[in-house]
Amino acid sequence: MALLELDGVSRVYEDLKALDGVSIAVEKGEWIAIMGPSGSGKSTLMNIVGCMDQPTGGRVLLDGRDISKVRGRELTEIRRSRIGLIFQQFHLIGYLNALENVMVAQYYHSMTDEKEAMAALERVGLAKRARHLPSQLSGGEQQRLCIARALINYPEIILADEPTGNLDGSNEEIVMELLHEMHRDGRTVIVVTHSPKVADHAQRVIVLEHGRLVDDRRNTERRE
Amino acid sequence: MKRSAFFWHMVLSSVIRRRARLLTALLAVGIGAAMLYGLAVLSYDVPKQMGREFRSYGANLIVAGDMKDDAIYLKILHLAPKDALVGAARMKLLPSRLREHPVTLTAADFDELRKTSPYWDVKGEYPAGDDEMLLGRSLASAFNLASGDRATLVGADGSEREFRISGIVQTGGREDELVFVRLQENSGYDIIECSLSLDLAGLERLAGEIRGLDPRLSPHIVKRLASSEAKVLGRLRYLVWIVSLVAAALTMVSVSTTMMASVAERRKEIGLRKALGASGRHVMTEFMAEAALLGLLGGALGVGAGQALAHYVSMSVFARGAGFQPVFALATVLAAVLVTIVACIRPVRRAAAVDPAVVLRGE
Ligand SMILES: Nc1ncnc2c1ncn2[C@@H]1O[C@H](COP(=O)(O)OP(=O)(O)OP(=O)(O)O)[C@@H](O)[C@H]1O
Ligand SMILES: [Mg+2]
Repeated sequence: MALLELDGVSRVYEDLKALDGVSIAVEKGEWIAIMGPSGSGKSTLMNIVGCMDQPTGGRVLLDGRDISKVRGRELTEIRRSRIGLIFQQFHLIGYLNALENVMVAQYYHSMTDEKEAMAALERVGLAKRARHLPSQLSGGEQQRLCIARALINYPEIILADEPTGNLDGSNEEIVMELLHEMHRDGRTVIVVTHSPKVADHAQRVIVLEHGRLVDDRRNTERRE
Repeated sequence: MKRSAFFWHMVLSSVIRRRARLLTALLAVGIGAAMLYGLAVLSYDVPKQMGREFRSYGANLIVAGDMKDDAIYLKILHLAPKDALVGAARMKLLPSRLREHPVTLTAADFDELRKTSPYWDVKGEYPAGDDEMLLGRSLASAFNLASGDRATLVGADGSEREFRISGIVQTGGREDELVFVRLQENSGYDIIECSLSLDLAGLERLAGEIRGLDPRLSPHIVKRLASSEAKVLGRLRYLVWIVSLVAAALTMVSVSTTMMASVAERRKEIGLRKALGASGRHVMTEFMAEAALLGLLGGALGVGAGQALAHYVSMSVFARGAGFQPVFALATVLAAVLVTIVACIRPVRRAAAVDPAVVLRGE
């Protein structure tokens, strides 16, 4: 059984079909890149997989369980326990320092553990900047912090929406290396990207256009 | 750090590091609390001060009767509530003649008289010895007498006594027609003028008790003073209530607006918290804690400002400072917290309803 299965998933905003009958099966431990032009529904898809939005049609199965009708608290619980999120705009809390930003994720998940949060920062190379506010960090450092926060609760699924969209080449490489580490740890990684270079790291590439799935291929020249 | 400690750390960081943003709300709570506390202190202090002020308009309970010795006087002193008694002046009226003209010679207990009637305007001195007298202003001008002059009074029995005029009294009332001398010990008296910081009901209760001492005594309440006191104080309390309600309403509107803006501004942050697994309840609790902290801080600041305000007003109106009232201070801080929390209910509801999907929408 696939870890995650989308079966004819649609998401309609008023009269706009952001997703239109998309069906994908994601195996545990897979690394998938989602590509497609702007407005093709990539973020909409991520929202649904990340349990932050619900489809207006079709089914989403997580471990065989249909979560497309699950709402409110239960959906929050699934998101909290199984999903790690990385964003293009980082979304760090401005009035908390790096360490505290990681601990926020612990706080909503279960217990806060400063040592563990510190270890996560160390892993992304930010141990020395633990007490800095996000505004005192560079873009690359902010994204690494975002990754440390996504890692902290050992989520099974990592969702990254344009994680390198705001980064330069060398920072992009650091972030991709961190994603590789997570993947090697056995996590399922789904990355939305415009960049073919970033997509090359994935084992499988999915392409959306106007909310429809137009391509789903194995990546033969994968970069390790 | 424990989980609950981290919660408070987050809330505190938000308040401290975003203080510039919260200043408006803090100011609103502070001003509201200052008005509330200042008015409470004044409304507590003012009746007392006003009572004292009113008491300077003269006696408000007059006991008349033929009193041979101090027994009745002492009993009345005993009956009157201790801290309410401003003064009780014994007086004896003696029909006399001054230069063939009938006058009322009033033997009075001047120490007490100065307490019951502080408004007397005396040019010169109150009589210090038994051969000195205080002359009403009308008489002084009619007979062309002045302080330091000597005058002879003829008693009802024809006895003559010469007095030195120590001072001239002017009140604009019947005192201007009287002659005052010192009351002799054990000479008996027929009037006790009492000045009491009591309301009408209190005065009536005391009058009843005095009548019970001796049915021949007739205690008389100066109603005009007593009821105008009650009216002024009643209006004052009413005013305090109105202003407090207005202050609370204004605070609420202002805090609510600021918090609404704050929620709008923090939509992304709220969405992120939810994306990280926060429930609506988590978000509500955090915002409510922030509101409570704001109320606490604003309330404490307000109490400080209100104390200064009350002190200033009291100083300039009554020339007496206003004391710190810990019970009012506590109540004000609690009220500030409560008002802030109530004002935040709507914004907090809105915060809790933020969709976590906002974080993935490129805005
Ligand atoms: N909350 C919403 N209300 C209405 N329309 C929406 C909403 N969110 C997204 N859309 C629309 O749905 C379509 C898909 O949006 P989506 O954000 O998924 O695109 P995307 O593929 O992520 O684009 P990009 O590469 O620019 O991030 C767009 O046309 C967008 O305008
Ligand atoms: Mg997008």
